[in-house]
Amino acid sequence: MEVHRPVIVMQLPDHLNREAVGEFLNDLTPLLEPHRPRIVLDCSQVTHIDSAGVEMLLHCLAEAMKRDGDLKLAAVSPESKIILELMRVEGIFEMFETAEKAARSFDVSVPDLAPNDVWHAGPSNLESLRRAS
Amino acid sequence: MSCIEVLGQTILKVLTGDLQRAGANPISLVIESSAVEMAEREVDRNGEIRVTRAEDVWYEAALKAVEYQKAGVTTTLLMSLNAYFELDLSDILQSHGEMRGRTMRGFDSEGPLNLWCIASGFATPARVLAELRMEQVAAYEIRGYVNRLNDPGCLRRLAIDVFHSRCRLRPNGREVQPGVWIANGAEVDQRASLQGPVFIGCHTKVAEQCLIEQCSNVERDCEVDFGTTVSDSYVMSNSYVGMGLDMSHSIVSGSNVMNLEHGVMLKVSDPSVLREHKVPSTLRNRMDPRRPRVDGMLFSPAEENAG
Repeated sequence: MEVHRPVIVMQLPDHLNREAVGEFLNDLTPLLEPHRPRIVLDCSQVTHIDSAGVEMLLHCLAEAMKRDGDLKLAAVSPESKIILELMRVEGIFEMFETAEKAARSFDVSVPDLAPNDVWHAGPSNLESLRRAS
Repeated sequence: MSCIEVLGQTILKVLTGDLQRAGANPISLVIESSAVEMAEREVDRNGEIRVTRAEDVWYEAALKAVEYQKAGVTTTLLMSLNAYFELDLSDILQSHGEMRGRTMRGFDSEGPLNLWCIASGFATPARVLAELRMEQVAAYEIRGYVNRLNDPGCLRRLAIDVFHSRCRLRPNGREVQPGVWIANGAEVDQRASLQGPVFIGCHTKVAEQCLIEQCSNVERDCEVDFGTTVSDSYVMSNSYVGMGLDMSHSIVSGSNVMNLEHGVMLKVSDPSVLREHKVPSTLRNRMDPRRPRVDGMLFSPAEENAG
């Protein structure tokens, strides 16, 4: 029987630019290290995204896929979608209206994802999430 | 809107030029203070068009109308330049004559336009303005092309209509191949692809591996950087479009982009993606202003006819 990893939902900062990307990556990178990482990036707070932000998203997706995992985007605003379209990366990411829908999409054979299968990453629990995943 | 370039010319210049060629005289242009400099650059005055700065443009226009009447002008045309319409001036005057001097207002299928024809006999600007506000006026149907320029999407529609010859406006450039117009001083890399109908404005640079297609117009003093696709879009003057982008169904002005498909407008804060662009005057002076430039070589009649 295959055991599924929990889906980790992480909130992106409101400014996804060169200044903010470094710090965010520091938090996210450890969660991409395990085998088959399943990550949802919640974009609902994103108001500004630039080329550095897009590059970071691509990097994270590549890292997840290297380990046979996946990374999906949730609650992408119309403005952010336009930036992603402009930079020709809109079709590369799977996007969902909500983090919940994105999380459920990871395991379509189990439509009712149990609450403890979805972990919301935040500053207070990042270290423990990293150890647990 | 009237001072924005569409396929190499502004509505202001086109309309005032049309009026001059039709014999309208005198012509006064009343502009809000902030736009006077721009308007003066656009208008081919030759001493025939007087540009006046005013905070209340309609009051000032009415004042001009009264001045004209005192100077012996019998029929005055008052029009707002916030729309583009193609007029037959002689037909308007004839129709006004048939109305026995009643104030006449232009209409099209969507309703009234800001275009009036008034006779003499108004002693004050206030009387003129009162006349313009009247609902019971004679109607003049404008059968020619009308674009109300209500929003940026209308500018895009105007550009498309010009490409498809739905109006009298023509791109202000040389048609270097069917459907491809290039204005003076433009530089298009030989490895770029222009799939007409498209327009490339004065001193604009299109880098290699770019694709400009689907009725796109890239106006003057722009740069489209390496590998970018501009499709069904309008790039306004002095805009830089970064490398490797896919600009579709949009209007771009500097760092602002309006996506017409999603109905969203946003300001892009990343200058490597979009930004305002100015061609240095020293560089502009080195460019040959007389002929369009493609593939780093100057076009000449002999080269056009070769093969």
